[in-house]
Amino acid sequence: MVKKIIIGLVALLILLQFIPNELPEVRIDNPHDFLANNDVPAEIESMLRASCYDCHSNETRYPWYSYVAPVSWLVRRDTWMGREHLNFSDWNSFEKADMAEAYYELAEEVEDGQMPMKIYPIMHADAKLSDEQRQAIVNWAEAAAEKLYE
Amino acid sequence: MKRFPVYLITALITIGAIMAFNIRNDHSTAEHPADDLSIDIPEDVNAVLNEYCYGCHNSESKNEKGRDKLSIDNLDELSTGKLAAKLNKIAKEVEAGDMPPEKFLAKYPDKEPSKKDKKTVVKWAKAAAKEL
Repeated sequence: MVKKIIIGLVALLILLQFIPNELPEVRIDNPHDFLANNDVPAEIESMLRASCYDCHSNETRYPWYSYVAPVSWLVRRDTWMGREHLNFSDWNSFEKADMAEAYYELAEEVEDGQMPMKIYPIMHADAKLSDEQRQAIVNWAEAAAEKLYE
Repeated sequence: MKRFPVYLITALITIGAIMAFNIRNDHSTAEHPADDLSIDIPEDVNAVLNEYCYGCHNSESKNEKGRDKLSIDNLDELSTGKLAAKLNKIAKEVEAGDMPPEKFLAKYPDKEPSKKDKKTVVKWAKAAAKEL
């Protein structure tokens, strides 16, 4: 009985791989990219790259399992939604008020622990942020927003 | 056995009264949110904000999320960058139809602003953010 269930599950898993699921495209050359065009402290840059850029930029690093259904469906949805909400690759094409809003929103979500999403650091250990790191991002983002209007 | 329903009814009435009180307070509308603000809110915009937004988005609101996200009566206490962020967000959310929230409108259908009212707020918020 158990054997039959396992065989059934494996067969289902194999079948799932045939359902089309196109992951959002990776683009490395982004003329409006945030990190490429702005003076960002090195520690903040490495945190943004490790904790945010996979979903919030065109430079997603897809791990092998992101090509395996059903995980690939989640990766597709999260990456698509992340880019839709805030795409650092487009940053320099934003209006000033959009930048201010993005800075404050990211500060708020990082401070509240909403971002990075809880599921993300489970598979990306380097994306986990300590309380000190969160505070550093909040301070930097709020200062950067105010600097826009100096 | 006979007493049980009395307790139950008393409990239900009490819970009902608390809920009614909270709902009323959540969306109570104060009179003049923008009167003391240093940022310039035109009369027509102020009227729309008063009618459709201020009930939840004021510093005394019992609606914690609404209060935290935006307190219209405290707009002029914000730093310039934060004010720009808030104005931009107001424009975006109202334009996208995300504010007032769907759930709230299901309960209070008369609190749905007209297209013209929404446009008034969006136009003002965008322009005010740009002017900063």
